[in-house]
Amino acid sequence: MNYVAPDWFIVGLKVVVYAVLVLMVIYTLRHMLFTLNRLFGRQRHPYLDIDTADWPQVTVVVPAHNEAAVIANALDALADVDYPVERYEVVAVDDRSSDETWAVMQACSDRHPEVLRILRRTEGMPGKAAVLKEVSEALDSDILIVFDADYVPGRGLIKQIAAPFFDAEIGAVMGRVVPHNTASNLLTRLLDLERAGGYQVDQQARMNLRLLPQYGGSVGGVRLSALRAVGGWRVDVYAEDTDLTYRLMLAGFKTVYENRCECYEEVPEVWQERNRQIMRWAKGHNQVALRHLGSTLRTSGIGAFARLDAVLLLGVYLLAPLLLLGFLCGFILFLLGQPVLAGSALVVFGLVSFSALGNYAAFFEIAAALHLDGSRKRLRLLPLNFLNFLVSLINITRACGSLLFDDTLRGKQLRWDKTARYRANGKPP
Amino acid sequence: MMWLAVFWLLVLVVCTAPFVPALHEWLIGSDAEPLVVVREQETNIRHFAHSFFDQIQAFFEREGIDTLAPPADYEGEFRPGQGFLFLSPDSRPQWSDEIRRTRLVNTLLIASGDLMIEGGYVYEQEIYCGGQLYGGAHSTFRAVYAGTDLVLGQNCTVARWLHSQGHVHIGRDCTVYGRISSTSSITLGAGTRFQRLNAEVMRFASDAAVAGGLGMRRPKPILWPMPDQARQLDEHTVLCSGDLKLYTATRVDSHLIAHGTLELGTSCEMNGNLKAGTRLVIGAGCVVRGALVCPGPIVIGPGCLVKGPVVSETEISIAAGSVIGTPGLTTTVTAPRVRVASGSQISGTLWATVEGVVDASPTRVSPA
Repeated sequence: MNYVAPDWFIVGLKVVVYAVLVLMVIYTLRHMLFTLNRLFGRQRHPYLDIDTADWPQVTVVVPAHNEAAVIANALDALADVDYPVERYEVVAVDDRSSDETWAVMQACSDRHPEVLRILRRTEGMPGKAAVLKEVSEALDSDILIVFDADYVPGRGLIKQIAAPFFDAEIGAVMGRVVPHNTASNLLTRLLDLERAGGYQVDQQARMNLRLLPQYGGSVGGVRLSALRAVGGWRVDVYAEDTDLTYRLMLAGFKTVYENRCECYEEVPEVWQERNRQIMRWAKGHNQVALRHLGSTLRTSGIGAFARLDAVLLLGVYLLAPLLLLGFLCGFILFLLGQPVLAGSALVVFGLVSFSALGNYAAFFEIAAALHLDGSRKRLRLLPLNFLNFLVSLINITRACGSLLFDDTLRGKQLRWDKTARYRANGKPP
Repeated sequence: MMWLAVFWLLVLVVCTAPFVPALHEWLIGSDAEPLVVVREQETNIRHFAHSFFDQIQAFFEREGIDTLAPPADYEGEFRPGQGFLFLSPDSRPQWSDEIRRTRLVNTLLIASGDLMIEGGYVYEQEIYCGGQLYGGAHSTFRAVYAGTDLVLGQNCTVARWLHSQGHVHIGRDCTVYGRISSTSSITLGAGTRFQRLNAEVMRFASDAAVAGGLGMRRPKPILWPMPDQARQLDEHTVLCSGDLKLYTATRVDSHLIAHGTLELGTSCEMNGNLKAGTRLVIGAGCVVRGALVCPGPIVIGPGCLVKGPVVSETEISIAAGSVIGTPGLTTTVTAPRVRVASGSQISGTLWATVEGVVDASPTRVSPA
């Protein structure tokens, strides 16, 4: 017996399929443009050459919660940077750790009393955003630079991050994050590919094209006066860094990406941890999308192309559920015996743009990034990145569902997830 | 049937083939080390010079050379395949007929004291001079290290780097690519082309003291009334969405951004950083206690004083008598192309990523 679906249902399914197709093509073209720009376009590193100047007052904040395994490396490295000591301080904040973090921080403070100030939080809202909000409100400095406790900066990094702030229009600066525990297992190797594509190609292309590079909350800095002008750190979002990027843009400030401000970080070594991380990012990013989509569409402070890209950037973590929805609609159309050329085309376009869902780093972006980095042998791993894609697809969709049902409809309180650390001993290269 | 089987086999091979190197790389991990990203020496302009100096000190130790009582001239091998000529103080290299004919010296020169080298030769290897070095005109050098002052005659070329522990004086119409540094001062002759310079004081085409930026008499500036098209971005920053022109002797006490052209009249006083979206023109005799940043060209008029970095993504022109940075407070001037007029002075780093040139004629401020 043949089931005949009503026309409106068929039309509805087709509209969804074609809409998803168009979106996928737009995002694929966007990533292709970025890749071509990075390979053949004019590269912008306008502040890279500033090596001597009357440097601004800089405060580095290192929020820490149960970071005993890693924080000593970070604080020792931060105390040893090449920056005028009278213009520089490091504020490490222990946010109610239950391990040896505070003791490790005290030992570091004894080693570097001239630059390192340590604080301990035992009350108030927990989490990185809350720490940053509290510290930034009390600071008297020009630039606030944020490092996570697992990051190990090189000696020249602080000057490189501070240099763009001589440009009065710059509100925030983002550097490049490079995993140091790449060799641990397949996951870390795949995340290494993803980070390479995301920073080396995606962020730098947006910098080249004068679009909106994203401030990522670590290995980056914010102008304190700009931060205060847009209302300070928000503690009611999962992605306070992305939220700040958009608030700065809407207020008229620019965010720049510095590809040569490279800093080692530790990436998750187990899939559960990775799932939590990507879900947190997806949730936070979509929160920001809901908050700023309207004002981004309306703003007149940036050009039309930059505005379009800012809108597309807001939507990257909505692609996963949309892609699944498109697949589902295409499949239903197939079962209903409808001509579903679009359904097969969806597979093609889905495959082409699939990695856009990971960390907005498509296949060809990763390949171009590895070429630019000169690490060509790791390019062989690319087919295995399909695994990362599938995991991201599912978890981002779960995060979207959670944001909709748990946070929005049931009013669930925001909960801060701590990323586990794996460094046993020794510090990164 | 067989063709169908072959077809599916081919499909299987095509689909699985990429996984073979992928699995191999995963299991073997031939490229699994973290990316090397720490480039500590990349921004250190004197890195090559210091490394070379360390190699020379190790050489003196290895050869047992006492620099206070050096031996007579002799030749040897510095490292496998690279010969050296050691020169005692005040001695001059005696070239063979072959070298005199080809004008090509492919020996490392190591002089423990002062050194005067004949012009018109190509020195393919590095030169170390413990004292003062005078390089004759029309010479080409790979790299030069001088223990005290260093003087190059006109039309010389430096290919990689040059460093002096004293003053550097480079003659007219030279081409000094790579890194040129001094612990005290650098003077470049007119018509000289350069890339990267670093010293406490750099003068161009003239040894005369720069009167402009520092000693000029200026009218008392009047505080700028913020126009209607401008808005306060934050407590320190004002943004103007279009072009902006400031009148003579205007004072601004904040950072100032114009999305279009920003043009300062003469004798303005700016107590903050300036940013223009298309073009930045600083009128004669202005004082800027901050940075100048513009993706387009930056034109600095005569007799200006700028204390902060000057950064353009296209070109910078600096007119006669202008002072950028001060010896106690060095700064950076960087753009793909930099044109510096005779009689100006820069303290810190001057980096023309494509090419810089010392212009003997005064820089004209062309209309926007």
